[in-house]
Amino acid sequence: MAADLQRLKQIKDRAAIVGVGASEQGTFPDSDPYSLAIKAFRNALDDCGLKKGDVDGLIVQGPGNVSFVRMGEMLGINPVVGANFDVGGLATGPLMQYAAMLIATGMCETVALLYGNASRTEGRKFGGDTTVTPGREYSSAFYYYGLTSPGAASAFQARMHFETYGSTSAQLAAVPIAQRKHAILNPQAIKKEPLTVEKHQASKFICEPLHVYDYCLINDGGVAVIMTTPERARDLKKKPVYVAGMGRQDTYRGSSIPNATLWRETMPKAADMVYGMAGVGREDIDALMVYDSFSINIWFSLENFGFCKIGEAGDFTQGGRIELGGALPVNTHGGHLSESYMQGWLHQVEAVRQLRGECGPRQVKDCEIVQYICRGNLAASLIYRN
Amino acid sequence: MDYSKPLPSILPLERPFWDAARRHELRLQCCKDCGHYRYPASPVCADCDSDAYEWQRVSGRGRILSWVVFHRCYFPSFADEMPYNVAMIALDEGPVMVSNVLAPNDTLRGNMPVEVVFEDATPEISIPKFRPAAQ
Repeated sequence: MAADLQRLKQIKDRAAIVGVGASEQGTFPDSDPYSLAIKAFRNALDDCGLKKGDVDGLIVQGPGNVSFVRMGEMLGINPVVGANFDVGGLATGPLMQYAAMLIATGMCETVALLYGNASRTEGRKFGGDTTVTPGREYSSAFYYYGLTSPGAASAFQARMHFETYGSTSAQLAAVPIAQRKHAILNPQAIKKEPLTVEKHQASKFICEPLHVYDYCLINDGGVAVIMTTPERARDLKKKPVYVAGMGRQDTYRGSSIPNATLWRETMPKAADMVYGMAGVGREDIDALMVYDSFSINIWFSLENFGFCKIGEAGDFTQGGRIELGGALPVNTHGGHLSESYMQGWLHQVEAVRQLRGECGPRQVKDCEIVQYICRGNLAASLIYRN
Repeated sequence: MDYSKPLPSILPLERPFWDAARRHELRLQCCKDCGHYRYPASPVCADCDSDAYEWQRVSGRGRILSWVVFHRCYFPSFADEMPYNVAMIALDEGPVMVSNVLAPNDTLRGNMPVEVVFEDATPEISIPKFRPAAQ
């Protein structure tokens, strides 16, 4: 079975992002996910000129059982549809797609997607829990061997890439180095100290072969995205950003074990879907936002979505190709490695800001098409256009 | 001394695996219709959808597919073993298991042959681990 592209194309450009917002990003003692998300929501409403009463779809996400019902109660709204999807950062792309579908089908007119994360304040380590987490068995089903944390699953894959293709950790350093350069140009970013290959290589391992600089930050913050119909979008404050393409492909076989296939059979199907629906190709992508809980994610996303050949991402990411000014700027905000760990939500915000031309010193010239990719056993991608 | 590390939570479906491990046998479900070995446990064959299976004793031999070394201590009960390895092991029969390899971390290599050994954690639970095997 492949996606029915003819039917998918009928909802191309039928939802538009009109408002984006974020709270401050960092460490905020006594903060909580709801307060952080609501701050971001206010900023997103202000960004587009809509009021909270316009929202008839409420999607809420965040680590630690953030409830969409409780959020709606706090906001005092009764939307038509509320939802969350408790698979951590893998949920972001699918939830953006769900919002677009709710709008394209007419079930909702305006969907607010709110994200709140107080992981730094709450002391969340993303490892060491002894409950098997549905959807994240790969990092929680074998804790009796000491296997825990999504980082370990990525470390297994990094080792496989190094061993199979002769790539190296020093080559992988190009990813966090590029993103750190981008973060330095981003007022919202947390990490600003320049990074070098030497510093990367000398840094401590968390789960070897991944170094601390290959890992995302853990911090507090909130993000909000507001999506509506193209008709409604026309008379709002800013130029709409359209959802032109959506791709998704899950991998459940073998999913209790850290993934050993590097998603070679499955992720390309998400690529076929997203490019097929949007009617654009890889060469049309002006900036790429990649879910980067770990640096190695960028390599698998580039390879499995066809930006480079299988096994060649190590070479492909050298020489500034993925930096601003390079052929394919990746994570121009600094991503999870340097800007803030908002589990893919700030990647959506950056895509919108780039397409609006709001990015100042980190603006990609003539930016018209931006793609989001998240690898994993729930692989998802979106293509946005202005 | 009491075993302080995390212990498996066991579905009734997985009980025969752990009963065998207690006898220091590695047994996996094998489909009676297509012969496909599966791990972790499932009530049906992922290949041919058959409900018929038996818990077959397997060789306990395999090769290291990938491995990591934990330098961050997420479980206090592992503190004495830092840094410790976790490996993915492709069994000769096909399935991939996760385990610890009882060897110095810097001696682990891709495709290295290993064989199962059992660590008696509690009177009820013995945990399959692996050690380097002859070629």
